Amino acid sequence: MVPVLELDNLRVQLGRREILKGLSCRLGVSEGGGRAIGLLGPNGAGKSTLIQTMLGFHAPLSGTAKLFGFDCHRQPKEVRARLGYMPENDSFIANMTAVAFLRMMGELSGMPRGAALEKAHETLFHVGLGEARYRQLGTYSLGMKQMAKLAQAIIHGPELVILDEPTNGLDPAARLRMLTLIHEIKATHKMNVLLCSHLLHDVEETCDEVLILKDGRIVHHANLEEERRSNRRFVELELGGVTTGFAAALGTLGAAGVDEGEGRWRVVLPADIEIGALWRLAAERHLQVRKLTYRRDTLEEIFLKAVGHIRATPGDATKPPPLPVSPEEVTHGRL
Amino acid sequence: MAVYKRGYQRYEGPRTGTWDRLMVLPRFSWGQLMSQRLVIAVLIGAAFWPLLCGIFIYIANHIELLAGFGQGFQKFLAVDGSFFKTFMIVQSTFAIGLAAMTGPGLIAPDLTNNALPLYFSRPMSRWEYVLARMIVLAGMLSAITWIPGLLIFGMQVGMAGGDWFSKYWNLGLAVFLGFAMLVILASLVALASSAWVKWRVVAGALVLGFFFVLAGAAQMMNSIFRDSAGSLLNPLYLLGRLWAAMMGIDSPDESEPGLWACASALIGFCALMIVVLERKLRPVEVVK
Amino acid sequence: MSNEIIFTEVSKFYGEVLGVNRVSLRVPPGITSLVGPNGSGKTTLMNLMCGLIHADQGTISVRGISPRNPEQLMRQTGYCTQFDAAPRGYTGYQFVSASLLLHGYSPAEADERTWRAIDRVNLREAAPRKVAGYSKGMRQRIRLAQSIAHEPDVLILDEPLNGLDPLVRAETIALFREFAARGKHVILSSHVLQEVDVISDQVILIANGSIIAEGQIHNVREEMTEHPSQFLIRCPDAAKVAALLFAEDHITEVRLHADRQGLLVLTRSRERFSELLNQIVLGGQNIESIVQADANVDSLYEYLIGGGR
Repeated sequence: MVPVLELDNLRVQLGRREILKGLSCRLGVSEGGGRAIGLLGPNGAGKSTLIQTMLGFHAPLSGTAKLFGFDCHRQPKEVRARLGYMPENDSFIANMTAVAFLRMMGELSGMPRGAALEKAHETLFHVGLGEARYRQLGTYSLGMKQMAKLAQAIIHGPELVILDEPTNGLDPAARLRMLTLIHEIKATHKMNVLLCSHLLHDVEETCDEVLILKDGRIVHHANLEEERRSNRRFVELELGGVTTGFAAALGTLGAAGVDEGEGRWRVVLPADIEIGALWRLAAERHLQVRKLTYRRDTLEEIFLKAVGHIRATPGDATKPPPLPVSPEEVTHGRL
Repeated sequence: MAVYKRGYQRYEGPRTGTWDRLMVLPRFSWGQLMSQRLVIAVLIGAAFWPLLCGIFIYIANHIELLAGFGQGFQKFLAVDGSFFKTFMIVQSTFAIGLAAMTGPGLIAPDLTNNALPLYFSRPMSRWEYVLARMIVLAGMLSAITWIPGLLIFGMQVGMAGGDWFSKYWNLGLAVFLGFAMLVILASLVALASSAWVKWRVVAGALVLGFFFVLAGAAQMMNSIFRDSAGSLLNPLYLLGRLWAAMMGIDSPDESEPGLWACASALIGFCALMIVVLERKLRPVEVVK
Repeated sequence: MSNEIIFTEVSKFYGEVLGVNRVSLRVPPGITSLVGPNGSGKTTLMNLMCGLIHADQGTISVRGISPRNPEQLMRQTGYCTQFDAAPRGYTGYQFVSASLLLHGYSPAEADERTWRAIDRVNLREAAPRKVAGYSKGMRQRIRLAQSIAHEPDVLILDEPLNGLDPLVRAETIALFREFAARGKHVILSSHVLQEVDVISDQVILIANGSIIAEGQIHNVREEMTEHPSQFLIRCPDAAKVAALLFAEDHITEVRLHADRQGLLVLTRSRERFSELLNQIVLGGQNIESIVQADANVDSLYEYLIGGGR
C-alpha cells in the first residue's frame, strides 16, 4: 500500500534559514483511500513550507518528499496531477463567472472540455454556489469565495485534496457546511484530505490521523481512531443533587473518583465493572445524572503535550494524574 | 416512477495531453478579449492600412488605369522594399498599441488576486504559463502583422508574376521574420510590464513608453554625445535597421552601429524582459 | 449604571444598506461575545461604541460617556479591528508607541507602556522588526498590543483570535480574562462558537441587524422554553429504552441512531427526564452514556439563527 505522503529526512531551506529540519514519516496508509490527515503546529512550525514543498514550489536541501510514491521535486507534473489545493489566502481570478472559472481550472487539470463543463456545474451546486454560479467571482462574499476555492480543488477528483485553513473567516453556519463537505469528500467520495488548521475542534471532527510540527520537526504523529477506541475505563460524570458520600460509594465498587466541583467527577473504573453499575449507584442515591461519558484525551491535550506545554495528558495513565489538568484549566492559562 | 439521486460525483475519466492543456489559457483569454468592444475596434482599425496597401498594389499592377497621369507619378507606384517597409512601420504602431491595450490584463490581475497558487498547483510550470500568455498576445498581434503582410505580398506576387518574385522574394521573408521579431518583443514587453506593475493603465503606458519614449531618449543621447551609439537603446530603430537589412535597402551612415550590434541589443532587451518575468512570477514569495 | 454600555433604540443605515435596526442593549463588565453571521451588524455595533460612526437614531452611553465625546471616550477605549493594516514602514515598537504618543503620553512614559504592552503579547524579540515582515499571528498580536497599551476600560476586539495557533489563543484568552477580572469590559466577536462557550460571561446573538438574544448562556437557553432540551444517550437495547421513554408525556421526540445503539431524546423537563432515566436503569436497562446536546452556544446559534444543516 502506497502511503499518501512519505517524507524521508526532508530538509528545506528558505533563504538562509532552515525551516524543515529532517522530517520523516508515512501518512495515510490505508486501503481504498478516504483518509483525512490533520497538520497542526504553532505558527512558524513549517506547515506552509511543507505544503509548498509538496506542491513542488521549493527544492529540498536534502531528503525526499513523496506523494503516492512520486517525488515532489523531481516529478512535479505527476504529483500535481493528483492534487487539489485550496490556498489559505484570498485567491481567485477576476472577471470570470464561477462556471467559467471552474471550467478553466478543470481543463487546466487535464479534463476534456465537455467533462469540465459538466463537472463545473455539478461541483458548484455541491458546494452550495448553485444560484450564484453565473455571477462574477469579484462580486462574491468571503464565504462564497472560500467555497469557490474548495470547488476548484475538487472538480478534477484528485487523490489528495490539500486544504489550508478552509474555515478561515467563515461564520458558524458556513463553517458547519464546509466541515460537512470535507467529511463527505473523505467518506463518500474517497478522496484523501490533508487539513491544515489552527482550530483543533475542526481537525478533531474530521481527521483520522494528525501530524504535529514544531520548529521544523515532527513532535507527534497521533492516530485519532485508535485514541478514540481506547480509554474506555476513564469516565466523566456530572451529577445533580447531594453528592456527599459518593466518593465512598465509588470505593465500594472498586472505582476511584476525583471531585472537580459543581457536580463534576472524574472516575476510573476497574476492568471488571460495568458502566451501568455506576449509574445504579447514582440512581440509588436519587442523584440526577446529567452527563456520563467516556473520557478520552482531546486533541487539545494531545497537542499541548506534544509541543511541550503540559507534562502529561489525563489519558496517559489509568490513575487520575496528581495535578488535574483539564481543558478548561488550560484555556484559563494556568499551565 | 423512478427517483434518481444525482449529486456530485468524483471525476474519474481520461486526462488530456500537454498541448491541449497549454492551449486552455489562450482559449479563455481570447474569448475574454474578443468580447471587449475596444479590442474589436482596434482590430478593425488595424485592417485599414493593409487594405489601403492592397489597393495601392492593385493600382500599381494595373497602370493602364492611370494612363492619364504622368510618368513621374507612375514611378512613384513601385512596389518594392521601401513600400513594404512603410507598410510594416505603420502596422507596427497598431501592433504596439494593441499589445499595450491587451497585455496588461493578462498577468497583472493574477498577481493582484493571488491566483498563481491556483495555476501552479496544477501540472503547469511557470514557463508554460508564460508561454500560454505569450501565445495569446502573439496570436492577436500576428493577426494584424505578418498575416495581412503575407497576404498583400501574395497579392503582389499573383499580380506581378514570377519575374518580380525572383527579384524580390526576400521581401516576403523579411515581412514574416521582421514582424515575428516585433511580435515577440512586443509580447515580452507587455507581459513583463504586466508582471511588474499591478495597475493595468500604468502597465500599458510602460509598453508605449518602452517603444516611443526610449526612442526620444535615444535621440537626445545621440545629439548630446554627438554619436549614434544611443540608437542602440531605441527598439524601433533596431527593428528598422534589421528590417531594412533583410530587405536589402539598409544604408546606414558610418557612425551608425553595425547590424550585429543591433541584433545583440534586441536580444538583450528580450533577455531583460525574461529576467523580469522570472523574478515576478513566483508562486510563493520568500521574505527574508 | 455608569459602568455599563447602554444602547437605546439605536439604528444605523448606510444609505440604503442596513447596519443595525433598533438595537437596545445593556452590557455589564466582563467578557461579552458578539456572535452572528457575516453582515449581521457586529462591526457596525463596534464602530458605534467607539464613535467612529454615529447612530441615525437612539442614544449610546459607554460607561457613562457618549461616543459623541471622542476626546474622553477614546482615552478609555481600545479598539482592535479585523482589518490587517499597519502604517507603512513601521516597526512593531513604532506602531504601538506612535499610538501612545498620540494619546498624549510623554515619550518616556510612552516607551515604558509600549514595552509593557509588547511583553504582554510576547513580542519583545520581534518588536524592532517591521510589521510588514510579521506573520499573520504576529500582526494580530501587535495590533492587540496597540489597543491595550493605554490601559483602556473598554476593550473592543473584532475577531481577535483569527489566525492564531492554539497556544497563542490560550494566552490571549488568559489576557482577556485578566482584564475582565479587573472590572473592565471586553467585547469581542468570534465565529468559533466552542471558544465563545468557554470564555464568555455574556453572549449577544445578532442577525439581520437586530439583537436576537443576549445574556448569560445558560440563562438564554432556559428562557427558550419553546425548544425542548436535547440529550444523547448510548444504550445497547435502544429500542426498548425508547419504548419506555415514549410512555412519558414530557418526552416530545425520540430518534434512533442508525446503529440502533443510540438515541436522541427531546424533553420538555430536564429534571423529570433525569428521574425517568434513573428508574429505567434501576429497572435493569443498561445505559452507557448520556450527554446534553444543546446547552452551548452552537445549538443556541442554530435554533435562533440557523442556516447550517
